[in-house]
Amino acid sequence: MTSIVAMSLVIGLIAVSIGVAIYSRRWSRTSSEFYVAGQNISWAQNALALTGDYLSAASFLGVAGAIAVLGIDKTWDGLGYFGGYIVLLALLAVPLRKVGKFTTSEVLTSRFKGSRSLRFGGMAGAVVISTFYVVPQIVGAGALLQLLMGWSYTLAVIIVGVLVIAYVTTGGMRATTYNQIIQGVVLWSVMLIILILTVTTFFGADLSGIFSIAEGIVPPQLASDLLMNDPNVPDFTQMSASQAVEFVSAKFPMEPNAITPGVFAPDWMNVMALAVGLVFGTAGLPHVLTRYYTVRKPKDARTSTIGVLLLIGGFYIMTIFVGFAAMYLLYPELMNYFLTGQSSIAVNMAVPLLAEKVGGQVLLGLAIGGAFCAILSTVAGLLITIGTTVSHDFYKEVINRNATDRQEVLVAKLAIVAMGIMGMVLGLGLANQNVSYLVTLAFGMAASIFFPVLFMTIWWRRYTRQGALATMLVGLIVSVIFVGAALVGSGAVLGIPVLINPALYSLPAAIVAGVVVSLLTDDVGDVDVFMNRAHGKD
Amino acid sequence: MVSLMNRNQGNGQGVILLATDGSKPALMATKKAIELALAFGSMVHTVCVHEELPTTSLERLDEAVHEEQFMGIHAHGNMVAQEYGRIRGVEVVTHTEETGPVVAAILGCAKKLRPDMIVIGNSGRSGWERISLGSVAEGVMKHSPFPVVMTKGIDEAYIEDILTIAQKVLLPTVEEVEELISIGEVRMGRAMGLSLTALLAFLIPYFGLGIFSSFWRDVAIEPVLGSMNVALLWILMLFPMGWLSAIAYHLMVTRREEGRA
Repeated sequence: MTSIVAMSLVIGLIAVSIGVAIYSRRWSRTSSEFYVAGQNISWAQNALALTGDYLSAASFLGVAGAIAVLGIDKTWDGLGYFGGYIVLLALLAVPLRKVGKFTTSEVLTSRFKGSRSLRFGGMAGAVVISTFYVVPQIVGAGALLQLLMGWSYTLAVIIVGVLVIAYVTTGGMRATTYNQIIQGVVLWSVMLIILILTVTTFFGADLSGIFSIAEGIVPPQLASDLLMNDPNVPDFTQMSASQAVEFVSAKFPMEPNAITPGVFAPDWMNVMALAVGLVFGTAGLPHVLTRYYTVRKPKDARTSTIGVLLLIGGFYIMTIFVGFAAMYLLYPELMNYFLTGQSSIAVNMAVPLLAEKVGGQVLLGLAIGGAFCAILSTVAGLLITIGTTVSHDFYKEVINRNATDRQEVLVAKLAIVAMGIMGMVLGLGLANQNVSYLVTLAFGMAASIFFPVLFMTIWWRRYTRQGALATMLVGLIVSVIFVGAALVGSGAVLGIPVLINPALYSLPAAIVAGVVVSLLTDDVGDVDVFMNRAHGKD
Repeated sequence: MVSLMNRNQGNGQGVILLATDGSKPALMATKKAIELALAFGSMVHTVCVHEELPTTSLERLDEAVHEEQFMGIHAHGNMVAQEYGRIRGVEVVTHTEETGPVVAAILGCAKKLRPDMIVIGNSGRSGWERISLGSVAEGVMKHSPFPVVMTKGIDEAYIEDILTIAQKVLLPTVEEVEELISIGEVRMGRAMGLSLTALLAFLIPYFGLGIFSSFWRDVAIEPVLGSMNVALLWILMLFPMGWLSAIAYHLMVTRREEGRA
């Protein structure tokens, strides 16, 4: 897989990313023209930055990669990531911008003044969610380097982890916004190029032709599971795509095809668990909420979010076509990776493999480089969020109220290093998981820990300090238990079946806990001032 | 200490434009501008630029920490100049630009005022800060059509008197800025109604897809458009439905807010 052209492009894109990190702030200060940070384009800049932040390894590698191995059920990932921004737009974006607080801890303590327990709970939730979001990025980056360089996964993950931590703590911290904007443009463009080349080269410029072929394919992950213990497994590397597809379809004629629902989420509870976790998760993701800090006016919060919806919606539609096309065109390779124990490549690398097939080493380099830069910038955003909440919400507010700015920044950087190392360790243990699946778990936790507490704080006058704490605690405990059970492969917890996402249990549990405790207590905080701020005139 | 670059002449009405951010290098420039105004019988216009940047709080804090060694103090630049001018008997008019880039904002102000000269302090950044942040003073010198006087570095003895004034008008840190709002009647009901309408317009078909594809799987796999089955068409239609819901919501809220205004 290693080639001079692809490697050069990857290194070139990473160099551009680091160059932007170094020079963008200088450019934004010393330019003699008003073409940056101007008032008129701020919402568009923010939309692109939010898009770049949001389109991580999960979206670029994971969504199409998951569709390529599991079929239609994994279109839920893109659909849910998209729908989450509608929830954010309708319920939280503008009130949060009006309140002017962008970590959950700060939102809560601006209504429930001086509550250290809420501040600590907000910090703990942000760390747990962001860590779960960092891990899939590192898994994706490790698999990318494994594919590109032929290194072992362990070495790849360690190198990625060290690189990311160094990037964030030395300079990347100050330029994430500009990098996010570039990442947004690069990832969107590369996905479009892959789609156009794929459709014109292999499907006669007919998009619907992709679905016609998908109708006759048994998803590779399902097929490889069925063939795993079969003594007569052929050598798929010697087959063409159509031969491989026909062989499997003939062998398993009764199995569902790629556009039949139910392969990944076999029943309504699993489907709804995934749907709930995804659509309410975005509104609870700490690094997404933090980015609204950069939006200039409340109205811009809405226009930026609509810009994001248009951009990510278009992107996820492309991933659906690319995913199904990759399933067919890469069928022999994907089957071979699964059957030879290289699942980490099979479940995450369909997009770069397809890029190489349709665009040679140049497009492979762009795809891997783009994905790698996306991972760098998304992890930077996540680690900065963790650093911010640990240093500000915990260290400055709970440990040392007289901390200087310098101490606060130092603690943030230490937290970033610690979380980066934890991300590496967890990434090593979760090598064979699809990155989009891991991200959906982070979404489920965000949907349970932060979404309900933010929603009720902003919209319910009767909500109390104790109710808010109960909401976060119950959401955190229930979601962590069920995520842990899902990752270790446990079928049930106390007789309750473990689903593909915890949110179907943890979100209602958190809401019920918040409502019940609020009705039993009466400390509604500084509700009048808070509601005026959140819902008053701009 | 002072370098002068002659460029096009200003309006000849005795105006000196001082660019200041309230830091120690800017205090050097402030004092020099006032002294030049006394010498030439000019008045001083000051410009402070408040950068509007799409950056997060930690990004700003990190930059502030690294800038501390070069800034020395972070005072209200316009107020310091005004007070120092009052003491020295020089008329000072203040301007604030609410957006960046800083160099462009200063030059924009200069083009409106057409000063005889621009006075600006050079912080003397070095190393990483120099690479990553550049120099506003050098940017102004490079692009200004007007003469530029640039003070270099910090002379503690020279700014001793003006520093005393600056220490009385320090800028608050971000955390200390707390907006005061009046408590009025907030009508949340209609806002909630609009939000829920937009949300349900998307969520009903979204969750409907999940229920439909779980309980009516045979219907979900029926082909409807070429080889596309019902489930796939439903999925692809949810994206434009989401866009329409979001845009309709935005238009309704905008109309409501204009009505309230």
